[in-house]
Amino acid sequence: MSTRRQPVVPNAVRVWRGFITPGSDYNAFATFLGTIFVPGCALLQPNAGLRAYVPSMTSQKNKPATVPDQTALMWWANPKAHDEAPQTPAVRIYQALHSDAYNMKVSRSDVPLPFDGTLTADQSYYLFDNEADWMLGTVRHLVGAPKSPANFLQTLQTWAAAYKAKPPKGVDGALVLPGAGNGYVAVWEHWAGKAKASPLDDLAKSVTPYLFATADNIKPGGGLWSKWPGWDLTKNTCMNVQLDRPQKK
Amino acid sequence: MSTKKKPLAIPPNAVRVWRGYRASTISQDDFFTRLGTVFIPSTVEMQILAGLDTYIPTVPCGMPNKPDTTPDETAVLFWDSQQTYTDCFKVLACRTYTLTHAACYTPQSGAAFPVLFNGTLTAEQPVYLIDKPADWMHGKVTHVIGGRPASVQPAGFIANIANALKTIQSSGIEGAVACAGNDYVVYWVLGDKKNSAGAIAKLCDWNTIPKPKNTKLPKGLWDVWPGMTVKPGNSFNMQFKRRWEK
Repeated sequence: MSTRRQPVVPNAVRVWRGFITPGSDYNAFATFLGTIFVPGCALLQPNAGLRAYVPSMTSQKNKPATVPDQTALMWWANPKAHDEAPQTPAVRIYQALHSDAYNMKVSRSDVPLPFDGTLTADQSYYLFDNEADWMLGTVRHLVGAPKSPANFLQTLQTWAAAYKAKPPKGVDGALVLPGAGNGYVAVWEHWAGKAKASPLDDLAKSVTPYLFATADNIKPGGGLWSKWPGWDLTKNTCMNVQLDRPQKK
Repeated sequence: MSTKKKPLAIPPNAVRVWRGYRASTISQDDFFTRLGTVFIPSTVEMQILAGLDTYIPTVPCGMPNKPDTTPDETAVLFWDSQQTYTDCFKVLACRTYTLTHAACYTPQSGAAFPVLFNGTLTAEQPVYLIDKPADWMHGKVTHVIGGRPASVQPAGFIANIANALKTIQSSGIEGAVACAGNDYVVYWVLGDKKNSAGAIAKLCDWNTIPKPKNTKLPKGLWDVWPGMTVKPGNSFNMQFKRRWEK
C-alpha cells in the first residue's frame, strides 16, 4: 500500500449527504452500507482515480430528519477524474449498485466552491486553495443541527470567515456544507499531522451535534475476493479509509 | 486457451440456471446497455477469482415475436462446486455483483441449481441430464429457448419436454441442462451430435436456437473500455482463465 503523499486540489472532491428512505429500517441501511456500499467504494474505485474516502454515519438519537444519516467525502485525483471514472467497468459496477436505501429526492453530492465570504444553503465550500492529501494525516468531522435556525447561515458565514482568516496551524484543508433549509451544518477539517483544538470545537458547542469525531484511519479488512464481511458502521461511524492507491495514476 | 495446471472436473450440478425477465421500469435499450457495460463484464471479472468456471449468457430480449412469458435473458454459470457458489457471498465482489442486478429484473426472475433428471420435470426446477463432469467453456454448446404452443396445456407441455429429455439423455451427448416453466423451456446441450436442440424446439411455438459465440473480454476491471455491444438474440460463451488455471 502506498503511503506516498498524493495531494489534490480542493475542488477534486464530491461531498455526499445521504438520507435514509423514510420508513425503512436503519439497521438494514447500516448493514447495506457497511457490507457492500462503503467497502465497494473503497475497493473498486482507487484504481480509477479515487484518492481519499471519508464515510461517516450520524447518530440516530433524537436526530431530526433534516440532518443527513450519512456523509462522505470522495476525493479524486483531479476535478475531472470523477466524471471519467465510469469509463472503467469497476466504477460502472459500483455505480450500478441498486438500493432503495437512500431517499434520492434529498440525498446528493456536489463539488465545493471556493468560499468568498458568502454561503448558500445546500452548497459545499472549501476554505483553502492549496492542495492536500486527505487520506493521510487527520480528519475531524462535525455534523450538527442549529440550536436556533434563525440567522444560522449568517452565523456559519461569520465562523467560516474567521476560520479562513486565521486557520489553525497544521490545518491544510477545510470544507463547509450549510445544509438545505438551514437544517444542519457539516464541516470537515484536515490536519497534515495530528489534530489539535480548533475553532471547530467552538462551532460544535453552538450546535446540537449528531457527529463530532476524529476519523479513524482504517484499512479495509480484505480485498474484493477476501472473506471479509465489511464494516459495522454502527461502530465505525467516522472513517478515513486507507485506500490501496496506485503509485502513479 | 490452454489449461496449464491440472484441470478441475467441473461437477454437472454446480451450475446456476438463470432465467431473467426485464423489468418494465428499464427500457429495452437501457437493458442491452446495462448488460453489455455492466452485467456481462462484471459477471466475468468479479467472479472468476471466486470460483466461476463457465458463463454462457443469452439475450432473447427484443427478438421478433418472442412471447413475454419466455425469459429476456438466460445464462448458465458453472462453478467449482455448489459450495463454491454458496461461499461466494462471503466475498465483497460477489455481494456487489449481485446487487447490481436488482433494479433491472422482475421478481419472477431467478436462478437455481439443477437436480439429476429422472424422467419427470417439475416446473421451474432445472435438471441436468448427464451425471459426469464437463468443460462447457471449451466445448460446443447449443441453446434452445422456446415458448409453449397455445394449443398445449402447461402440464402437457412440460410432459412433452420430459419425454424428449428421456430420449436425449441416452443419445450420447456430453452434457445437458434444461428448465421448463408453464410457458417456456430453456435447454443447453454440450456436444449435440443428434440435433437434440431441434427436438426440443419442435415442441415449442416461438423458439430460437442460438449457438453461443466464444467471446473474450478485451479489457480488465480498471481499464478504460465502453463494454460490449449486446443485441437481440446474442449468445456468448465467455472465454477466460479460471482461477485454477492461473
